[in-house]
Amino acid sequence: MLFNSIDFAVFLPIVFVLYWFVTQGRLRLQNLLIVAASYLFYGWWDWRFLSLILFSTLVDYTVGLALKDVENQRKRKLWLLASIFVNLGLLGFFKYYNFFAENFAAAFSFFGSPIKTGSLHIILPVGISFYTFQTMSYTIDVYRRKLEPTRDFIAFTAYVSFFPQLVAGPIERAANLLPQFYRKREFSYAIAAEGMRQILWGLFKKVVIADNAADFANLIFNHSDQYPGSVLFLGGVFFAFQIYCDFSGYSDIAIGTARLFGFELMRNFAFPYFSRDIAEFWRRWHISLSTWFRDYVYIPLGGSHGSAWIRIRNTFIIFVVSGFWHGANWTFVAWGALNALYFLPLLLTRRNRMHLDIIGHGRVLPPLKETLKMLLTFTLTVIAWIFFRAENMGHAISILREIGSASLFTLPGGHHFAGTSLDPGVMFLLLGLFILAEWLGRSRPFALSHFAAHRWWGFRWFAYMMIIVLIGLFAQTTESPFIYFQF
Amino acid sequence: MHKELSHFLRRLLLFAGFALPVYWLCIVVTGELLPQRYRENLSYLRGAYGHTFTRMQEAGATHDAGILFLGSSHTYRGFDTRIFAKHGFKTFNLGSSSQTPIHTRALLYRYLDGLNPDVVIWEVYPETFMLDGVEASLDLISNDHNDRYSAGFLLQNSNIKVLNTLLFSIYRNTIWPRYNQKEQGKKGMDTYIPGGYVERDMACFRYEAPEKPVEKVYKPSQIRAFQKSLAMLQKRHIRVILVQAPVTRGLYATFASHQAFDSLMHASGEYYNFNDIMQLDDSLHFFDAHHLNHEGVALFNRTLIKEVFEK
Repeated sequence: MLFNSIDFAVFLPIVFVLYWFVTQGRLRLQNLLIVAASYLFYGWWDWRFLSLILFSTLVDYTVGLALKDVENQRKRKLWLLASIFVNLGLLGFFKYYNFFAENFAAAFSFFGSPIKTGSLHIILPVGISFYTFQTMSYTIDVYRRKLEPTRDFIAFTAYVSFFPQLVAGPIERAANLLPQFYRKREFSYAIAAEGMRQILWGLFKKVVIADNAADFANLIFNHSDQYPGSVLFLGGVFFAFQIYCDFSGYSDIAIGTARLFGFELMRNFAFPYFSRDIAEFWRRWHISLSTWFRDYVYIPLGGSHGSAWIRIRNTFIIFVVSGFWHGANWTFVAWGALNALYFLPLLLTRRNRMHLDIIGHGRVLPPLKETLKMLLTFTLTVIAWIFFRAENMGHAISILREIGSASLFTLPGGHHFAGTSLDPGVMFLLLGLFILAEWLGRSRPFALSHFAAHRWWGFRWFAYMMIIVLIGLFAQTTESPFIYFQF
Repeated sequence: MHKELSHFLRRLLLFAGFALPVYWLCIVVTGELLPQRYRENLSYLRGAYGHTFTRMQEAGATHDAGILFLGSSHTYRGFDTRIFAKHGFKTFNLGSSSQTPIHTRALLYRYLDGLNPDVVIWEVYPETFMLDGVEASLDLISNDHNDRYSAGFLLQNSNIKVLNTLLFSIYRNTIWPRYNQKEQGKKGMDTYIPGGYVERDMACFRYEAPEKPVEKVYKPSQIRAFQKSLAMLQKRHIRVILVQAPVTRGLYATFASHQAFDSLMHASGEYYNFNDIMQLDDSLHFFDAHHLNHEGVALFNRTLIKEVFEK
């Protein structure tokens, strides 16, 4: 079920009413309802893959209990490895089997010993990368004795399958989300109203900005051989907004929806395009995944301690693995590696924690130096996004080659965007409004909370109405899935 | 808890009560002030193409049509009422752009009593059974009166464009009922012929290589609407003739499942597929891949009269 669908618009109020009115605040009944709703939500897409979630849940629930009972360190490690093997095994089979098979075959052919590997027609289960990482965080935390394993199977199943964040995050840590399933939930007007606002803002980001930007980005990337460097760069900019608004829009709707049910999910995006260097960008982009890799991969590898070579190695590992997590394609690996290259100079000169505050805090506009830094960082991310969006490495390189040519200085014209459903002028106007709203709200959890903080209700309602009208007038009329569903 | 919850629900209802009229007002202002390219999701197309407005006005004033034609643009561009008149038939052409069975059903409810035909010729182009019907909804909402069937289009399509256009159309029909009430009979290359037919100035079609055939998937809701309409017509003892009008060979070849569709239609009633019955020339008898030109219409209509009424 898509958040931006009529199905969800019907599903959500029904679950809300059942949750608060029918369960009468009985915790176990509420958790059971969440499990049922979550399985229905996921099964709407393909019920066959519910068995995978259930299997993953059973494995990690059992491993969690075993880790509690076993004192022997070697045995504990074996239980942990079993959980990791099962989870990564499922992920590896569904997501990476064909990639490895094809690349092994290509490598053998390259060295003159061609081999035949069968590629399978495997459907990638939606959200597998997200819930796999979420369940693994539970087992690892229990192994590290940072978390008490749960005996409450319903609560654990609800934690793994919680529908707001099941298919595209935020990837929650057991330590944050699981205890919320044990606690009695009280309905809070303020939290629920904030949730509604976040849902509205997320929906606007998805259906107005992301879907329309996608129209432009797809046109440019799909016909990249016909465009000058300037338009190709604009294609990268459109994709940058598409992926940001698509994914952060999803996160906003997820966090907002969870709030309606009395849950607090972690923040996933913090205005990443207002970053002054790549290190800051990565502290603000897909926070739940970045911190997951930091806690469960980077720090166990030694983190930023040790010699320069160790630090370089660890940085590359973390970025390349992060890229590979997104999909079985060399373009994602290149995207990760390029970000590692951007990050390394900051790490080696120990300037990677320079910008911990908010850009231009307390000012209308940032100082010129910070503005230039922000623009440079955005340009670097756009170049990296070109790898992320391109069909293959050759495609990415041909685009970058054109951007690097004199055609970068060709003025883009309206004819370059013929075929998009939205007028380019309207698209740029919408992007401008969106950036302005994000800038004004950059010190808040999400942009709309800036307008919601206004004292006069008339102003607040005007802001909400503006967004609703913009959605009504400019939303793409076809229900398009969120990009991160494929990861 | 219940206090906070009821406060939340009350505020939500209050906001909804505020938002609905304000939204409507914004749609009206946008529709009145902005050109089409700046309001992507408001598509009020009165008199835009196909002469639907004139046809619906005429349908409301016509009684006892004899033969009633139903279907998509294949219908209003494919059945020339003058040719049928020459053969002694009184006819009315109630085709509209991309008309799907769901829309045909609504039009039957609106006009069948007045038109009171003895025979219905329903042009059943397979693609109309696959469409979501947004284009047809926008056409009818803009050019016909709105009633509960317009709300049905909205529920059927679940499309914001249909909602906005319906809101704007209700406003226009209520506040400015006389606005834009006259549609020109001749628009570009198209001329409206009384009785619902639209004649295209003579033009020929440049051949295009056919695309790869694809399996067509029909929407169950369209099949249901089709069957219900058939049942309704049969109940009134109206003879229903299902017809597939000729399209270019190139276009026809893109359908992979003619047999399945033909079987479905044969099972539904009296059915003629003129793509099999006639051999037309793509270049000489069509003006685009879908539509017959003068020459093609004349040949098709004469063949149909011979096959259906004179054999």
